[in-house]
Amino acid sequence: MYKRREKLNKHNKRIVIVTVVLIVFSVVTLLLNRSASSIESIFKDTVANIEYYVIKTPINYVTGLFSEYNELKNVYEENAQLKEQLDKYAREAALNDVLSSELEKMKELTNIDFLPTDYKVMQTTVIARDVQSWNNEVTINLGESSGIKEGMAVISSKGMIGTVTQVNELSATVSLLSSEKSTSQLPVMIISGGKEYYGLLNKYDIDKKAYRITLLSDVEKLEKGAKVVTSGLGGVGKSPKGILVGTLESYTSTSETIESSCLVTPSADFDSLDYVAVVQRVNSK
Amino acid sequence: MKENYLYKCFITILICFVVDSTISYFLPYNFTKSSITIVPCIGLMMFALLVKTIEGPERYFFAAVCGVYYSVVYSNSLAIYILIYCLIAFVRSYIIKIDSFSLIESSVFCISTIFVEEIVVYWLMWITNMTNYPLTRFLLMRLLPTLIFNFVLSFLVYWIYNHIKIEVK
Repeated sequence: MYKRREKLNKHNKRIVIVTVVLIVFSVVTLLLNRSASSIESIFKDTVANIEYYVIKTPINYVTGLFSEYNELKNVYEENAQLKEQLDKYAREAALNDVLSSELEKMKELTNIDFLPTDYKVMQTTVIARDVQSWNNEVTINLGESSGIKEGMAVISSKGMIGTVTQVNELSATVSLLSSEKSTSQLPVMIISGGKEYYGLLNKYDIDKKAYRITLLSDVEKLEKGAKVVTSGLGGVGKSPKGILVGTLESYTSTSETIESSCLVTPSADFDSLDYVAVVQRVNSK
Repeated sequence: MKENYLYKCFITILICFVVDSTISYFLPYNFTKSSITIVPCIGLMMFALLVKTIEGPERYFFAAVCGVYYSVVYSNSLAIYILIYCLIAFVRSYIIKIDSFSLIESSVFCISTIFVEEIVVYWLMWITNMTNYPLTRFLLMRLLPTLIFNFVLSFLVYWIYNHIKIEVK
């Protein structure tokens, strides 16, 4: 009887110690604002992959069957439109081939191996996103084993959506440009009136529904609707030059403020992020 | 028997977290915070109901482990959830001591828990400059839809809770 009580006390003591350790860990984490350790990342990676392949993919497949059936009704009209576009595509593809071969010849003549605009893309799917919707992060099913590195740009069909901020073995975390608190500033370039102006994308302004960009170049006037693309000045392995970020909405510069800034409407649609692609600069080692 | 019950509770909460994650995956995205945001909280509601059925120091151990799991897997190490889960265990032990809830009582308790959790996390996000989401928009576009959505789910949670609950011998 006494032995049993002693055993129970020991067990309770152990449980109390573990609980206190966990609570202390929580408080320390909050105070130090520490990022996830490798063990936490591996654990998160494993759970996210299991959930995606065991639960979400089968559900996606079944719901996909219904939406495919509905889309079948519009196939005839879509086919006619696509046939029209195919003629244009053949002309564009021929022109693209001519320009590509000219570019290769120019590279040979000038002894340049890679251009800042050279990149290849790796298609991937979003397997998880922050359940609480505060962090503006998504998890993709490409990781270190596929050559993904921190700082790589991630794009959707309409433009840049974010950068890779954490890489695990089989998955990676992407911080979206729609984040209100930018962890790293993205170097961008505004093409207006045939000139290029450089700046840094700081954060997303939820009130204005636009990116806030601090301009580094001296600017007198910027045209509304000017294209904003990545400048490729982030360094080796970061985003290449020429990926569409958005279009210029407004530009503010007063004599009282030292720095001028502008608002840019995002080109990417953040409401549809099922399929994305990671951009790898060709010259990145 | 006691440990078996604890395992059963853990597995129930894990399944609820997976269901939360799956629901949120198929709900419309709102990364730009321009429209309604709904956060499914089946795991939190189930935890709020189950925690009272665990006796002794295991109750806080259960709360801490659930908080750690949620923090690591679903909220990218936002460790506030460990404290929130322990706080719920404390409230359920010393403030709201009722052993078994009726359907309405359980729904009200679950919704109040979600309300407090959302407010605490929003406050944390605000003071750490993670968000500039205005309070009125947070209340109308996130908190209210989340509470309504989870109120409906709370009936299902209560039904499941009554089916899995067993007395500890």
